[in-house]
Amino acid sequence: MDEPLIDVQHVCKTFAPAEGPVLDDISFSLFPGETLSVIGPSGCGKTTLLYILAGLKKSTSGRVAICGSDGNTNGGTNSFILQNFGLFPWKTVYENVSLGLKLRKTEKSKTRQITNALLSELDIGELSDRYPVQLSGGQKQRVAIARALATEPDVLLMDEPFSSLDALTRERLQDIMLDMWHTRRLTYIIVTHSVEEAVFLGKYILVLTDRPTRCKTLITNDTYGDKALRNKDCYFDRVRQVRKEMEIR
Amino acid sequence: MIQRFLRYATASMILFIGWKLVSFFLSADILPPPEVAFVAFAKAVTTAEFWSHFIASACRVSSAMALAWLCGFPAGILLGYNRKVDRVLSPFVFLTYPVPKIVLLPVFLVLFGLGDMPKILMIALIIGYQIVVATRDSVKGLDIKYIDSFRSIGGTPFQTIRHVVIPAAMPHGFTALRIGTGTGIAVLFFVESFATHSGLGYLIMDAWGRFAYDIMFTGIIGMSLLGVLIYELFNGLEKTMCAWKYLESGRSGAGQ
Repeated sequence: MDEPLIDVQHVCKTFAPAEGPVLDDISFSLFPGETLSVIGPSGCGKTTLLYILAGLKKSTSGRVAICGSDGNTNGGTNSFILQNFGLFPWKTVYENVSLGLKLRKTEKSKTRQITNALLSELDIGELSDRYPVQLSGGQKQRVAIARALATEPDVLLMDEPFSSLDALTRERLQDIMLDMWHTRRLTYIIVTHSVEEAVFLGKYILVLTDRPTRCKTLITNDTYGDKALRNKDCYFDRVRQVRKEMEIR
Repeated sequence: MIQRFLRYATASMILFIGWKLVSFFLSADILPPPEVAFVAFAKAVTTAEFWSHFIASACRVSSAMALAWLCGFPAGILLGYNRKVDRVLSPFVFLTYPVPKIVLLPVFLVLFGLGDMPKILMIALIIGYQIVVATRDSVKGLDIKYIDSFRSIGGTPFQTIRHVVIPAAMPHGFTALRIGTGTGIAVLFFVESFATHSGLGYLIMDAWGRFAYDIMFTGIIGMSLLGVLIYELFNGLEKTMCAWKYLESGRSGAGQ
């Protein structure tokens, strides 16, 4: 494969010219099935970068291209899991998950089939009639993942998806993400402030600087993809390496 | 459910005793003791005359509230959602909002005749304003993350209104309706005291003129009953249409 799925070239974003740029010359590319962790100081513009990738904000300059599965260089679809899940409190679990399909006017029987399959795959089948407020944090996150995957996006974008969860739940959901990657060869970008999460979930780890945010280093993480990674020495070595990179001024 | 009933029963008892005491110390015909008023009311509900007044009032106030909702809720959504429309129209809304609309009743009577039309329009105008303002503010206060989240799923602006803005504004619209019920019944009384021979407001004013205080209280109790029924109707509708809201706050019922 010689064409990257996601190609980000020299992206800059300035909100107020007096304050200088928030994002300054960000570039990277990802091929299908590759995963990227973006890590950096809080408030450095990681979320802004995701908003630009999702098409919810425009970059001031630079180029973002997500290649569609049909070969259209800018026709790729994305799903975006916002911080704090972004579930709609007035819709049930089922309605939340099937919403994307409904908006695309997918056939009802097909929508039901896809939605139910995802719900049972993520082990939340019994919760389909509940409202988000009746769910635990981990369950909400499962619903958010199911909703994001329902439309089979070319790329999945996640903004600190597991940061509000307790440690055990977080690890279980990280395992689920890895399973999803193994079964579907998902391409995803995850923004996180946890070094451990970045190493566990990213084949590449993009370390950003403080404002104005630039790419500091792009680490290739060859340990990625192993579910038992958390107990291995190479994992700790990698975590130490990333941490050191973050500390360099 | 039983607890709720007990709470209501206790409150009714206290109100009853309070009324009784005030009536005892006033010892005037204008405030008959509660048992006299309720006996008169019990007698009245067996007559067709009372129900014709009750139904006339119920039709006026419910059609007015329906009209207020049908105009006010969409207008509030539009003002809250579309910044351009809001910038142009909101000054009109907020300049005219504090004007007491009830003073326009004579104008309405001349413009729309002496039938039900001016009465319904007057109530609808007053409640409609409250619904517009409450709905607009709720849409303005909607967390942007819901709109971003919806757009990221691929929703168009029209679908955003249908799936995000309207459901989020619904509970606020119902609150406006519940508050509007009190206002609506008050305005109903006022508009029914002019140029009509039907409705509970007419019944009250007519009985007052004839010093028939027991009948006057029949009208007053009837009007209260009408208010409670409409209020409970909105409570019930909200519980079915916005079930999520009740789960969210752990409330068993709004406004109780």
